[in-house]
Amino acid sequence: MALLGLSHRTASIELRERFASVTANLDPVLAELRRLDHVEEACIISTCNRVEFYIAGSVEGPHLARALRSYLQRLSGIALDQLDPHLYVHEGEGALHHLFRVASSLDSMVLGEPQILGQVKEAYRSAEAAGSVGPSLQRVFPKAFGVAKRVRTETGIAENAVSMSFAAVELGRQIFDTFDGKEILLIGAGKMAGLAAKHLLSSGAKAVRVASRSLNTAQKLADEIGGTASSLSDLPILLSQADIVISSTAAPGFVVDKKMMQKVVRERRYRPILFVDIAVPRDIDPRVGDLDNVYVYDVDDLEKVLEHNRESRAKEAAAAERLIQEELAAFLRWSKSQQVVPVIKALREKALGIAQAEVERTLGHVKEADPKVQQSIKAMSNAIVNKLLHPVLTTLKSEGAAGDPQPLIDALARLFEIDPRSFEEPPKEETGKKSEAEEGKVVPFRGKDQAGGES
Amino acid sequence: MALLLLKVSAVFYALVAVFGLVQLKWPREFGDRVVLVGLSLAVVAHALALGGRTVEVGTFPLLDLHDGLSLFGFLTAVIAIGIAWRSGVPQAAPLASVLVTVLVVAAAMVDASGSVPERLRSPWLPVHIATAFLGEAAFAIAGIVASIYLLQERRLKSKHKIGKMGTGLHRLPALEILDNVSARLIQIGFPVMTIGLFAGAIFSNEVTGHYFTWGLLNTVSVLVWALYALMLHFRLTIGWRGKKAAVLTLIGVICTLVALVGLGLAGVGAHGTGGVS
Repeated sequence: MALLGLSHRTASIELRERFASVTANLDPVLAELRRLDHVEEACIISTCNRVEFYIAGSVEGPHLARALRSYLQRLSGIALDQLDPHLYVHEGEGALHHLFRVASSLDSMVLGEPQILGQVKEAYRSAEAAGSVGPSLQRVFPKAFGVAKRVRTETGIAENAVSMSFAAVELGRQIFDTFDGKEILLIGAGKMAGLAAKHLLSSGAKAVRVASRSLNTAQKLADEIGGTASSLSDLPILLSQADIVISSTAAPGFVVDKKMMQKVVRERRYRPILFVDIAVPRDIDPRVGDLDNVYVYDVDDLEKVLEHNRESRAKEAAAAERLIQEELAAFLRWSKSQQVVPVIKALREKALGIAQAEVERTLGHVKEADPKVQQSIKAMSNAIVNKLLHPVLTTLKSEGAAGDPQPLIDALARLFEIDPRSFEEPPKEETGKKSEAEEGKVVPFRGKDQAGGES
Repeated sequence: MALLLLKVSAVFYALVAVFGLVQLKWPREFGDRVVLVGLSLAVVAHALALGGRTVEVGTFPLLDLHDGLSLFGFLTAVIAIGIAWRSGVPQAAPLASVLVTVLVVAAAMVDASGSVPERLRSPWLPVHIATAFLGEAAFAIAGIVASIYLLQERRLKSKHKIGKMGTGLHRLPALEILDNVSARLIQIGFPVMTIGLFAGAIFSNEVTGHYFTWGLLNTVSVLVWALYALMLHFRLTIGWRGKKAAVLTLIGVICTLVALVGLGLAGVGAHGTGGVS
């Protein structure tokens, strides 16, 4: 397995916007990825803070990564030497580790924020629907969901994690004396935006208006947080009344531009207005922020605001990192031991097959053996097979868990004349503990209208 | 005695200014309170100095540069205490202390005249000088608050500085507070200043027979008055506020201070005209 990606840690919002827009339509990109040499499985996590390509195939990580790298150049239309400084590559175990960290929100802008897990699940579900998930990703992603759940419940990292809303309130406090009586406008009915609005309401804000392209979705969110719904076409009027605007539409271009805002600023008698733009691609033209008394922040700015917040959670993060290491090691052990499962199966099948055939033959000669005796003979043959194989299988299992069982597998194949190709069938998904297997089930994620995304 | 008290208050102001600037840079939890208490002590010493001076002169000591600078400093410090204490702009106190230190040290270095000449003894003189300086002091603090506004605005607008935006003790007051406080100071300072200008005109007429002459300070005073009149007008009519208002407030204050200091350096009497010196 290999992973290439760029995130808020490595790439500017412009570059992320570029990747977010070329991967907006996932299915064709997933299909193209699978057409790359040796690539059999692919999954793309695309949020406003990261775009990551996970691929798996018949060859080792480095080969996969190389193919993916040149594909990304074609996809983005950006030369590799410009792209490289912003890309990170992880292979095999490293890719797994990274996925665990992402799902557990350890790589998020706001440590411990809860949205990312849903987004990873959503990405996995999309890849599954597109038919680009195979045995490798099927093992890895559900496991990541389980690890993320453990991190949430067993460390304090998710406490106080209010992500973007925290940053929005923090910025609002620098501009407004108080939130009492302030009006909030949500452009786009994103889930994140709704959360932020709730936070502001609890800090004293007066009213929330939700404007969305579809009045229906606007109404739904408005009902949920106790606001009123409006149409996007009323934007200039809405803007002239609002004090805090949180924007999270999936629109490809700017929803609010400088020209519109110039008029609005006069109409609102130059009262200060705060824009928090959590959409990628951005909704608010950054030049709107050149206007006096207008303050515009995009996700990158929020990141900076949240830097200190991250420090305070560093301790919990360390505990979470340890937990992830532990889970990773356990998973790798399990994963290795799974290599020997088909061997064990083949070996037992062969031995039992021989035993059964011999029993049949013997019973064919002994005409009037009573059923009780027949039963005993069958049991005896099974017992002999099991006793003979027991030390072999035990050694194989422990070798599989601890180190490299390949030489042993090769030896067994030769000694028992088993076709090694029959070992290649990969192990079925079964993480051992039932609860984790359940966790692996992908919960369908709400709606498409959540451009706010990971935050 | 009065001069000694003035020097004592100057030392207090200077200490408060230094501590206050340190507090701005490396804030401590109770630092703002220490600044406020220190500034209050300095103001008490300064009040005693002004009282002593009144006793020395035998009337309101409001004629020469020495007394003018001293009173200006005193009023500025008093308003700064009020703003830092009640209006949620603690940062105004250290910055005002710096200005007041400069004013009071300058006052202490200028020779005080012995007494007010008989022909200038008119009730309009103290009214003129007290109200004009009170208005100026309000404008000076408005200017300080406006400069904090500009600093905060710059932090909030600059993409590079947004991460270093003050939090916790480093937090600057919200823009809305700074804008409101600065505007209110001008709203209060403006009518006071207007009274000062009229009282000055009446006094001038009593002494020289002219209501107005085009001296430097007169001209600057009227220009600054007109500037603030316009600002108030636009604020009320079209809701004009924020950065531009802050910049203009600052320009007005700097003009006034430069005019005062310029006069002091030139060694001219109060208005450089009318033989008042």
